[in-house]
Amino acid sequence: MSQRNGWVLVFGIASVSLGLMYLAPDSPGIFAAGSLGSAGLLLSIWSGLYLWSRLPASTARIAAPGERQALIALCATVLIAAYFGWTLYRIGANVDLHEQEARAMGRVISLMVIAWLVFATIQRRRESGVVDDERDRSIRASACNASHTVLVLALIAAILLLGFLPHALAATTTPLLIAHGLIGALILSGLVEHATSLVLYRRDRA
Amino acid sequence: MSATLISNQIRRLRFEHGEMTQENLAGRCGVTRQTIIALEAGKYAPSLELAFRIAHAFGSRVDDVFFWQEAQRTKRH
Repeated sequence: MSQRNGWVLVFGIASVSLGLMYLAPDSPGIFAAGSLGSAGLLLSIWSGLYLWSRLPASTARIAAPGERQALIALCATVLIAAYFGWTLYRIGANVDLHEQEARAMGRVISLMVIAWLVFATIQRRRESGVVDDERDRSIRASACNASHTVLVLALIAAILLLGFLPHALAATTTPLLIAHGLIGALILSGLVEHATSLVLYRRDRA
Repeated sequence: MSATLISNQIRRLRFEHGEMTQENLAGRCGVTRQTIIALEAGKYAPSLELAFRIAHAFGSRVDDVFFWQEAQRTKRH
């Protein structure tokens, strides 16, 4: 099977698996759609990693190793942010820890984070020579700075919002909703960090 | 990482040293090839330590490799 067909197949399996997990995360029975979806997602992740490891190293040499890591991190964070935002939008303000959809969200995000870490580790092992130098550290420091600024601004905005909310609206705000808001702020700061890294790497290119 | 006022002669020195590749120079200095590319393009100002390492790789002094662009303009006038 060619690389292209392999990637099409992997993305197909991943899409169907995510659909199964999203539609029926905890349906009972031997062929529970949620479990089938989880297995399919794991299969697609490992197949994707195998295909990635078979790619010739010369295809990705324009970007620095740090830039490739930042790209992987940004893609993973965008996926997590999209899934988190969409699920919260579907659940609405009545977030409950015992709700099936909220529990499934935690599982899917955990799987995404594990896949990201494994993918990043494999990519790091594929790199040869120097993979991290003073320019990478300088870019990481600037990106962390931007991320910290966004996190602080988001927290100040949240505090002001809570303080000045009309009484009727404030009554509907639950601690769990605030907790999800804080998770959202963390994801946003992560997005800013990885996006800033990529922008700085691209700006350094000739 | 906007363009810096510190300019350099890395590209010229590489060619004068047997057309040394960016990869080779990067390996000698302990940085990535992309950092050498950024340095040659004048997009990145190196630390003092890296400047010394690069100069050492060419067997030159730091001020033979790196210079302040204002100084170059003054020299030309």
